[in-house]
Amino acid sequence: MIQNPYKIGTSELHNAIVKGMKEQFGWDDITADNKTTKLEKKYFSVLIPNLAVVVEYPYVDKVYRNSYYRYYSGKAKQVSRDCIRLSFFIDTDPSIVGNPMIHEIWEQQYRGFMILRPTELNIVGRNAISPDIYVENNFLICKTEIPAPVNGLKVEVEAFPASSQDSETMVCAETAVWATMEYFGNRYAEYSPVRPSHIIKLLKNQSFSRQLPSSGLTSEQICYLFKNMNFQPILRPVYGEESDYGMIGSFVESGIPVVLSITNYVDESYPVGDRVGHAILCIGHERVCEKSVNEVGNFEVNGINFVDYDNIKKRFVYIDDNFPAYRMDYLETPADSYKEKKWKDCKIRFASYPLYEKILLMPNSVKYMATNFLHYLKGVDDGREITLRTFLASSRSYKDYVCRNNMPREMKDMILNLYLPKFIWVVELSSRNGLIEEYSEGLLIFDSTEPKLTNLTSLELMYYNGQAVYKDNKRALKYAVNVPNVRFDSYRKNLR
Amino acid sequence: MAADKKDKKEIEVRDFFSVYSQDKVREIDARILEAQNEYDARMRQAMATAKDFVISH
Repeated sequence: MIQNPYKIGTSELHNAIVKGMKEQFGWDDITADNKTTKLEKKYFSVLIPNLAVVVEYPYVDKVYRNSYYRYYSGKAKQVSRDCIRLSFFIDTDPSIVGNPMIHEIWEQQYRGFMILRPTELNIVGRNAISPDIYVENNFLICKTEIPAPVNGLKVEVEAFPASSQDSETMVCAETAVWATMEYFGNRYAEYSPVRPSHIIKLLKNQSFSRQLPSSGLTSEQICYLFKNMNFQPILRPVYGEESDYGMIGSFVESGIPVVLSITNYVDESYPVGDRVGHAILCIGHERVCEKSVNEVGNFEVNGINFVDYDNIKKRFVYIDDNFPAYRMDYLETPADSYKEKKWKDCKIRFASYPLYEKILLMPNSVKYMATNFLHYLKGVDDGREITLRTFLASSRSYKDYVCRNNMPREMKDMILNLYLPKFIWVVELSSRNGLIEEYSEGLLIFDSTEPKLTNLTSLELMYYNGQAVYKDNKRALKYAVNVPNVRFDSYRKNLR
Repeated sequence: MAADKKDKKEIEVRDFFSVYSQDKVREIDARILEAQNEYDARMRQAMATAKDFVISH
């Protein structure tokens, strides 16, 4: 039977969810009412008004059903194995039901789903909701298309997958790994989404005690999981220095979600009862504004002044299983949105990067090379300030961007003729104004499969100030002058 | 347009190493390696604690 949509914020929607919880989860009136009120306060209040919500149950959720058979079914207390699914639409009038165009309209107006599961502590399970319907959405993030049916109709939403932790089969660390794989699995053929039991199985030989209920993972275990899920991950400590945050910024700018391990203690002086160890997933950042671009300081490398885009003060976007998706905070204070001091005191201590196997060159090395290689070019050390924006791109996406770009023909030919690996590091060169208006005046391209830093081995192309250094089709290094010196649109395909 | 065409010079391409000496390359490489070695030393020291840090909230 086709379910009617309810307007968000109405008693009709509240009552429909309460009814679902009573019928599906076997909860009493008071519990169902309290849980629904909390859901509305925490999860619906961050969404724009005038949304319509379809409530469907019983719903078989693949993630919860996996936890149910692995864990909840063994409990004496009976727990439902089914869930409730909420589907969100923009501008959908309840009277639409019966309209013969309903499928076309719903495909256009669908903005995502949220699973409610019978786990009393945190009822929000798997969810994928478009940033379009969040009140605060002036950000750029990694997104992928996630399919879901509503009333039997197959629809898709472009979002980043999220879930709250159920606190027994998955806590923050497992949830962050699950969300990462859900993203990569839906976006790239090389990876697959995972279930909670899969994570437990992979860690079986790494664990010396029981694995359920979960008592968390170490940062090394998170990396171990990624390694067994077709990545070649790296784990890096974060000491609060600009270069540490810069590395996170460069990978996020590359469209790679980064698992951040955060804590409020670095030694024994912090009260034991207040100690926090938490994992969040960093998936994007807010759009930079003119003020923050103009405020960021520069640094000098042998007479040339540089501004690093990664040093610009901006809030990053997180998937945090204690919050609705797309929470925003600065990297220096990654848990500032929490109310309690013990959370606000948290700093990033480790970052786990799930990398494709052939990304051997790291962004800090790319920046050391870029800032020094520019000294080969003439007339660059005239006191000007050069901005750097560093990111990974697949060579196919980058060449596609070049074909469609407004850069001069000579530059296009030079880049399109390069013999490039699957992934390249790109450093876009510009000015502060270029960062604000999203144009570049030069670039460097590096081979991500070449970790050697000397003898310009990993450099594929450097173009700036009317000059170019590049490898020709025999891999010989060339130096060109009289190259057209123009502005061109920046590459903006990694984050949307 | 006519003036633009007149001003536009042909791209001149030369072998990189006919323009820049190996000494210049070694000088720039040394600066890159110094920065990288400093970074690597700091990372190695900090990595020692990764094993003991449990995240569960």
